[in-house]
Amino acid sequence: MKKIPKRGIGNRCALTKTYRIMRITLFFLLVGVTQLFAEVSYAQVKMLTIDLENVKAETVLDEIENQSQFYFLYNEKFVDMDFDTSVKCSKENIFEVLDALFYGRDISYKVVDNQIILSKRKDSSEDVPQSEKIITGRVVDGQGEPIPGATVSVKGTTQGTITDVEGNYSLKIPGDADVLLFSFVGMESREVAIGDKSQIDVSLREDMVGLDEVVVVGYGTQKKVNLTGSVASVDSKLMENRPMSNVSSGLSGLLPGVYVNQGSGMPGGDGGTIRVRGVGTLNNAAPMVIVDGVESSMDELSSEDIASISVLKDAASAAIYGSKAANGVILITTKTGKSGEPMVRYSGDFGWQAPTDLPEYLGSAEYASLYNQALQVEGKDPRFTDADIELFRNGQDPYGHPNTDWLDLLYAGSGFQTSHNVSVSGGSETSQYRSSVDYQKQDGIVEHTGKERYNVRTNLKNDPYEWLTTNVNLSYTRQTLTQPNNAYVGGGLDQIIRQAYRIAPWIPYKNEDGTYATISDGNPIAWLDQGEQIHTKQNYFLGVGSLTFKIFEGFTVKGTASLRTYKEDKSSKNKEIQYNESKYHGPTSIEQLHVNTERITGDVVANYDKSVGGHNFALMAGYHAEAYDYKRTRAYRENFPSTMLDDLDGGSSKGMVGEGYTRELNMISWFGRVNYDYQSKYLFEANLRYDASSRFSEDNRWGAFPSFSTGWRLSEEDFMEDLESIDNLKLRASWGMLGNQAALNSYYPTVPTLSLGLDYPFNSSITSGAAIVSAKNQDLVWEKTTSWGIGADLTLFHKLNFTVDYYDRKTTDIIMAVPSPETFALSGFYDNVGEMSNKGIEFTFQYNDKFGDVGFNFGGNFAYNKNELLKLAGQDQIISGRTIRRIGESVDSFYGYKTNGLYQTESEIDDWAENTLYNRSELKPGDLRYVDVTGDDKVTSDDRTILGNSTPDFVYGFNVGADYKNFDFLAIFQGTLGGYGYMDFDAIGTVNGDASKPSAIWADSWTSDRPNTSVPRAIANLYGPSMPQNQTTEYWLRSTNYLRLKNLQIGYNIPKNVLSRLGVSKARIYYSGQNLFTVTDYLKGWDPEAPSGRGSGYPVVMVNSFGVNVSF
Amino acid sequence: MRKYIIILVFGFLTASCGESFLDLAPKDALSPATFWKSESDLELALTGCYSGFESGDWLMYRECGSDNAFNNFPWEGWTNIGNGTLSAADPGSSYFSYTTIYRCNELIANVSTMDLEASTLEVYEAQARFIRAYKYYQLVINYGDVPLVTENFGSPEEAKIPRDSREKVLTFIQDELKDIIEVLPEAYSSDDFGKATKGAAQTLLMRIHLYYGEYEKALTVAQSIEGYSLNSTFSGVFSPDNEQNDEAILSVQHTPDMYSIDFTPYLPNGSGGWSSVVPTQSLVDSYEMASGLTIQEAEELGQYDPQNPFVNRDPRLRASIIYPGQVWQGDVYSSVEEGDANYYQTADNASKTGYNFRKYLNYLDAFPDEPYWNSGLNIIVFRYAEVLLTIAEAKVELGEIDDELYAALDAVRLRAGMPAVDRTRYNTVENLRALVRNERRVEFAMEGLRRDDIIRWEIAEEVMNGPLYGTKLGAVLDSEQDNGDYNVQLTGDPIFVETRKFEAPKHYLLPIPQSAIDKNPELKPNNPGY
Repeated sequence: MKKIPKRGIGNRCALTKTYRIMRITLFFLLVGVTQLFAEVSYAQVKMLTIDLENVKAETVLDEIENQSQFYFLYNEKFVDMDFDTSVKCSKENIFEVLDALFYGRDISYKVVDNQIILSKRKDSSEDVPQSEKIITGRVVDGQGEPIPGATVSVKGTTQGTITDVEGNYSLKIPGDADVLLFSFVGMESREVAIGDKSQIDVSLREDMVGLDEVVVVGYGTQKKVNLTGSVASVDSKLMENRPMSNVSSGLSGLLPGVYVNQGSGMPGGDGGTIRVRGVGTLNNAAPMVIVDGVESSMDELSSEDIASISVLKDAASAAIYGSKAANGVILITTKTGKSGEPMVRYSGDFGWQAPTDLPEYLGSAEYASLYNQALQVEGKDPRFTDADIELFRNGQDPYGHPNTDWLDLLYAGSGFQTSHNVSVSGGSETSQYRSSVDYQKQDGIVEHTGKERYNVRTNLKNDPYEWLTTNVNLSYTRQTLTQPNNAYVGGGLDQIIRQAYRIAPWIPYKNEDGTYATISDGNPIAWLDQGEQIHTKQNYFLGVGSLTFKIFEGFTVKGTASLRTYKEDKSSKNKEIQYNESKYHGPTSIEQLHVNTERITGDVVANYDKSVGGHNFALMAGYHAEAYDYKRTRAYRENFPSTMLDDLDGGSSKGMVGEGYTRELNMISWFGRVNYDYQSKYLFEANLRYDASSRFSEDNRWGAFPSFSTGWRLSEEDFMEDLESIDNLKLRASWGMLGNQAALNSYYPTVPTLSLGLDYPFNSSITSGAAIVSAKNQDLVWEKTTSWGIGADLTLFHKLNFTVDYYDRKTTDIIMAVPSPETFALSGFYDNVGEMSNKGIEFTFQYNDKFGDVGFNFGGNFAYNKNELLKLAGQDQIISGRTIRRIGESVDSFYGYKTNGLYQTESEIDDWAENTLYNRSELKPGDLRYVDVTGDDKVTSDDRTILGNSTPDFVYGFNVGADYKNFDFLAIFQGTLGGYGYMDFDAIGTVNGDASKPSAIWADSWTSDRPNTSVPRAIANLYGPSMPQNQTTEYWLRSTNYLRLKNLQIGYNIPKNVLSRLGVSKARIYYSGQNLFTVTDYLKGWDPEAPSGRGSGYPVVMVNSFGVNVSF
Repeated sequence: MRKYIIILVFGFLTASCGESFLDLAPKDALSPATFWKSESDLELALTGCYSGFESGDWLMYRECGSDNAFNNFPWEGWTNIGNGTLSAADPGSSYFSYTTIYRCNELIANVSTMDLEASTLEVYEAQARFIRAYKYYQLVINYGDVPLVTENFGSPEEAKIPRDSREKVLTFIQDELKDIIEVLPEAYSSDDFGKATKGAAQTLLMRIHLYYGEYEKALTVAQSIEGYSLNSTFSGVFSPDNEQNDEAILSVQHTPDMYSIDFTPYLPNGSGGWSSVVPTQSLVDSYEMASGLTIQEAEELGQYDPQNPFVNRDPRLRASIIYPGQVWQGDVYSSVEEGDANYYQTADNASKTGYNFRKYLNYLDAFPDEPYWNSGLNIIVFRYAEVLLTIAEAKVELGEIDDELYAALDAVRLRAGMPAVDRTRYNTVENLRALVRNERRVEFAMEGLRRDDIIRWEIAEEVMNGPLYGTKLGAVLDSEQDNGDYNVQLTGDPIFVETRKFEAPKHYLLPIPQSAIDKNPELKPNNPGY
């Protein structure tokens, strides 16, 4: 076995023992998949030539492994390999070589195919005390499959053996031995009392708590137990077999302190918004996403291809990514091949999406009466007669008095989705591959909205020499998104949804003559009828190649180069419409937008690991350079003679537009890391990254980002040894500093420029103009986040894992536009003048157990975060729209008027504090009573207070899983507490004529006959005092607290005896449901995850899918 | 050995990424370090000063701050100025900007460093000074005292300066204008049409004198303005094919696609517009009868039918306003009848007064398919009719009732198709003043002058207080008038639009926006009453 990864880069504590254990693991895997190897004995034919002098015996074994397909398996407890030897042989078979090597030593070997098992030579019978006996038996796993290579030993002694390929063992034990210990990596160890048994068969259970789990960290991997920073990793079980249109949304509810909000179900636009440990900045707060070591995105990934996801949450673990890591880092690795027979796997699913919730609006008859009533209150004549209303009700005049259900017409898409993934993986000892092809198609719940995605990926690993490993990962994704368009203002679906939510039900979809009926903005379904008009072709490529050189034992140098490109080709057509005789929207136009981005990176990383006594060191040093290039080109023409044309040339050259620009961003970084531990007991890690970015001026472009963290594994201490129930107890502490340069939209924030394009026509022909329009600040630097945290990990009873973390994260030098006096005249004088703090607690637990045939697991996480603004460019507060940024409060809190019920009478209006925001004549019984907070008996803008925040304080998630025989079940929940949402305009609706309709909430509106209601009076004025749009009021602010079943899975593994006849090794069929139910008090009809506002976004969807996974 | 060589290669690659790798600059913008060398640089910078120095929308929306018009959409910034609910925190449309002034200052400061012929530099500089003076005029009439910035600041901190007195700023503007009147050419080559001429600077100076009651000076400057004359027809002044007429002294230049004006806010709902800026009943009523009688006078004589009010009126009414019964784009505009696309309750975008403006949109009547959102029509800032009416007004105020006064008035009225002033009826300062003021109102409706007129005449508190009405409701009849319009029968109540409030002198000035004061507390105190 030539190239078992002895330890990942950065695995600091790789003891020889681990190394051997890993060999055994791989042995197991290989035996599992490639039992069919070598019909003729490999050992007989394979000839070895070795010439080594005065080397460790291990070196000889390595050399044999290098030259052949042989593997050595042994337990160092029983086999003493710590001796020097010399071997010289030429074209000899393995038996001759081993006989020579072990001559005169206490070592025997057994060759089984290409596995060589070493054990202690059995003592001669003369030495065996009379009381000795021999125990035989078989070690199997939970499924009854044999475990080869499992260790069987007498407890408290060095006597032992390992099981053979069939899992059988035979061990001579002293008569006074009373307990046998069975162990195997990845399995829970078991102790069995010997008594007077001579045969002991055991079955080992899978290790439920994953103490040996390895997680991906920045530039390497690390054993979970040795982590000192705060890294959350997703249990791959929770990500598998879930039809996921976007990987980001699949993270919902799985990670403490990582909040994923999925506010839309739009095909291609359904990615979740991810915030790690709260909102850390006033600017871009999205975490950095790294795929296979390279900055990338989640949009293009197929969940089937993902091997692991970990999130670096604190500065200690993320500092190695320096100036881009302030908002956390999400590390994703893709699956790689494993040596052995080719394995073909297919997974596919199909399902249907449906809105989680939709707003309800009143029908024509109810609306008409409500409208009449509102007009009368204002002293205006009613618009509809009783006869009109009766016709609306009875539907006898479908064109003159219709009751159109616009939402029904809008959400007429099938919502069908399907995905298919085929992968082939395998390889030899020196080369492994995995290739996959992925296809995904989604039809929206609005017709002509959809997504189609193709993805191909190949990961290749080669070990051409003992000292060289090469890796190539290539991924190409092509995604086509389609959307309808609207002839009103263009821009796609948003306006179609908006108008469907506001057009009155008494407007017919079509007139009797077949033409479209319209309001002044048009007719949303008429737009839909024009078909697909916006096509976005997105092409993602990611190529990563690396060479890893093993310079000498423990020292490697890895060079990595990557290219990532994103090309977007968006063609937006907008077809003209003659709705009817008098209403036209046009002309036909086409906009072509091309975006091309490229990121080229180069990395060189050196690693050195060394263990002396119990002291383990790992050193890492690296260099990174990247060049990012963005190019945008836009062209536009209109007046196409036909709506059928798709190319620009079909339009008129009059009025055509061509524009474009490029942006560049380059970076150079140096970084290093030191890990030290003593006996895995005391852990220490330090990181330093030194970054330079072209974004900043020469004097300010370099920044250093250090971090330190330490851990103490109490459970490894002697004084804890007696506490059997505690498998692991670790205390952690960390401190570190990170940067955020993505805070700026500008790529050149310090380069003074005269902007072009400030044109003006003279004599009707345009003349170019230029001026300085934006201020540049040479002193600008990146934002810094300094955080410290403490945490503890605890594993109990082999079944329970707990992790708790407290963090304190302070962002300083937040880049803000400094409030510049108008007399300064330039926009965007940005400076590092903001400060913010996030403090929080995170808690995770995981419980895994097995009761007979029933496997059970329950996991949960909970996070509380408190956000506080500390500095705001010298101001106390900045109000913008409905929200405020105020020092001492959470960022972007809703800011408005407290309300206290409704006025019941005119005299009450006079007695209540005077609402100066409205004329007295505008206030009527049934209006909201604004609270006079300041106590001056007047309601003015000073009476606004902070009402709540859209970001929840508490985010929690939990998952429950169980399996019984061939059935399995998994449910994942996510919930939040303490957040608020504010819907307005068309989401709430109004009684204001043809271009509006009241939502169902208004059915309970106040009237003198219905005074006992909380809903204000309906008013024929969008901006009335009780309407949500003009003023932000407590009444319309609603809690978004929710608990949601994010995913439910029920699967069935088809029994092997059925499959074997079909040549299938494994097959599972399942049902998977996403967003199946939600418990919430939020405004009826609206999803608590959807953004606040007028509600014209694509609804959040639930998905019911059925799928199958087959391995051949 | 091989592996060491490869590592050397890595090392080399690493080292070759030097610092210059990090020195990047945009490729779509110029560097100030290499600018200010050639005349073409100067042309670029000057064009940058013109770009956005005035906007057709500002001029037309400004009418909503007067008794001429109503703005239905608060977010557009004029509703609260119209009804007096504006406050510093919610000031409505704001003029408080130094962006253009900054650009002019920049040009003026750099001209002296340039190695070009003085006579060339002078004209560029004078135009920048004109634009700067125009911007200060806008600031002063809206805000009174404002900071006077003639040299740009290096940092936001330095720019926190207090307000200068209105007198100081006015003196600065007048001095500047007097200087550049000597430099600016009377006209440019036709390729440069749209640039500030001597006449533009004179008209601005004239207007400022008039606005601040310096009638003698206003008269003198007005009389000195030469080279302009009235266009032969009234509506022809606003026609896209006649933009360079002799009456236009300065206009905001437009050209389709590149620098166009969007007429959507003005068009009726039925034409795809928003009816953001709509005429009031009060404006409609101010148009005389074609005979030269006011409607009140005519009604007494039975020559005006309040139920069919648009018959035989000043032709400028039809040229300026779309009213019920009028044929607009081939259809009868029927805002008074329920069910019509323009009925005031049909949609948000239907005019809430039952009227729409027509003046600049006139050409769209015959060409309803023209892209009205992408118009190249210029919007007038100064035109010669203003010079004539300034002569008339200054003379009235100076008590000089003479032929020149009547001639100026007559020229404007006759061109519009109205009879000359009845000199026997209009022979006192009192009634001439009323006539001249009304003449300005009807002549310049939709051109942005009315607000400043009613404020300086101190009649805003009368005309901007109380209920605002639109048309009376009723029906459009089948009978046609000679001009193609249809008769109407308006028997219903007038549309009540809103109640307005105007406090003098508070509302003479706009409040400096609270946001500006927050950024620069030196601007305190705000204008009285805010």
